[in-house]
Amino acid sequence: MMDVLIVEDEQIPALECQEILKDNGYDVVGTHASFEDARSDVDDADVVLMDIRLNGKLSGIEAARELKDRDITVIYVTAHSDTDTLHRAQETYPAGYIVKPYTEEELLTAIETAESSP
Amino acid sequence: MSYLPEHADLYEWIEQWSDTTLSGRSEGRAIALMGSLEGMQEVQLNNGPRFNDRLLAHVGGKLQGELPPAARCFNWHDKRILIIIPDPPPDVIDESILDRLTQVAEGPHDFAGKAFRLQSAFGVSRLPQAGDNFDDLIMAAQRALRRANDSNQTYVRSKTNTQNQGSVLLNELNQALQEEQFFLKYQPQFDRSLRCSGAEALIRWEHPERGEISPGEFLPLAERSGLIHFISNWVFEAGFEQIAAWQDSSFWDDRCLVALNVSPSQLTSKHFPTFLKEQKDRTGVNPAGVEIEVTEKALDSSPEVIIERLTALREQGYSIALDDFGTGYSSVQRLADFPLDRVKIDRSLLPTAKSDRRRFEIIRFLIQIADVLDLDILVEGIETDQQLDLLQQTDCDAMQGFYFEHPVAHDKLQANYLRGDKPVEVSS
Repeated sequence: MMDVLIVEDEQIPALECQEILKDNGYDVVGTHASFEDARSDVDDADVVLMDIRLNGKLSGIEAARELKDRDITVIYVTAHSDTDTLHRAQETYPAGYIVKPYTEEELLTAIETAESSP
Repeated sequence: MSYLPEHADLYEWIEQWSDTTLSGRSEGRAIALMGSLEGMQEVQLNNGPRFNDRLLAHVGGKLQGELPPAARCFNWHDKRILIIIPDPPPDVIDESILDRLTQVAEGPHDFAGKAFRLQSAFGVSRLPQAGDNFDDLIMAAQRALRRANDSNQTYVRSKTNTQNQGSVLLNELNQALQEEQFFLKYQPQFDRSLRCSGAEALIRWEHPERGEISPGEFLPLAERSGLIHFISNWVFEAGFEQIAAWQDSSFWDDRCLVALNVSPSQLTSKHFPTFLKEQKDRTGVNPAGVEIEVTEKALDSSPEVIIERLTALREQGYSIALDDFGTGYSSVQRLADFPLDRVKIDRSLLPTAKSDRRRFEIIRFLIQIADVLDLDILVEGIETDQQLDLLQQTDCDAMQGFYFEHPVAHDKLQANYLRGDKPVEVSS
């Protein structure tokens, strides 16, 4: 099973996400509201679930750009699906794009798909 | 057996099995089947929990009879059965045995003087592919079962840690979007006098090394990952540009409709109306020439939102078609409840021979219903002249299929079908 890092600025969605992952056997290596705080856990993660709006200076898309250069798998989990955001997010080559509110099935399927299709 | 062993027995059995594995007498391979039995709850309500557990044991015993002697069956919560097959022989769980297990699980079961029918689904997982321990194996089977139940399939095999789903990779999908490797083909549609009445836009992928890749290979991956959001938007961006260009030309017939497929997630997205408006403003397309195709599946989620969304789209001038009617629940009530202009009858309902009267009557019946509801009917998948002959005996409004034409490039559609009003010439 993959080790997952959650970067999400809102506490309740972050907790909900963490619960789903733990219930399904994933190890959550960290949950952070900003990418600056999450950086130290990135190397322990196989996949990063990335919100787009974050606390801190960097947005999720800017963070994903940095992670793309380091070849780390990112799945966006966000409430945003407007044209501009989608265009900018796609340029970071994410392994998935989950729009909130999501179902448990959507989240797990995206992670499993990232696991099996690097 | 009176009752199936439960969790405690399972864990004890796992320990023994793991000891065997560690001592080198086994290769650490195993298969788990997690089965759900719908209908057990009613059995319990009507007959009590002990009766329920005994019926479960009865079903478990029958399932075990279909499997290798080493298979073990456990009671996993109220209406679930977990079967573990240690050191499975190759291909022990192939499709035919899964079909057989489903049949056996569903009954009818003659038990204690009563007859029961159940509905079953199975999730299948394997060690070592699912991970390196039994927890991984069982959780993978649970996830596979959930997918089976969610997708109304009788069984789903677990995805594994190492298995690639097809040869298409997520990175390649991203690259295809960035490097403009996707393109649209158009399958022409014909009215009853065999004049071109429009076309359906279909996405294709021209891979730089592997050539054209069919959507069946990459759209499921895009759906599962959520990258479908990017691809669905691309279809509308490219489709609107092409339709606007045609609408600007001298040969465009205002009666023509070009259909674009909307994905369920795109249709329910709160950003979809804004996105369409942006694309309309950017390209200058006239919505009167655009048909938006929704699948039956898209109507399943949040019907109120979908009805509101489709109503707004129609008010803006777009036509709405329900695609693949006949592959899902095919509820006639939906035809009445949702704001639709056209229903596309799936190829699976088409008669395969002139003698296939039953299917023909179904189509004729659907056409009559559509007429009452003031809906147009398009029949998909016409492949033979017999099918065409049969449809011409009905009031079917339009047709589409390989018999007339495969999906073609935009310039071919333009040259062969959009320019001119001659009926299409088809070779029999």
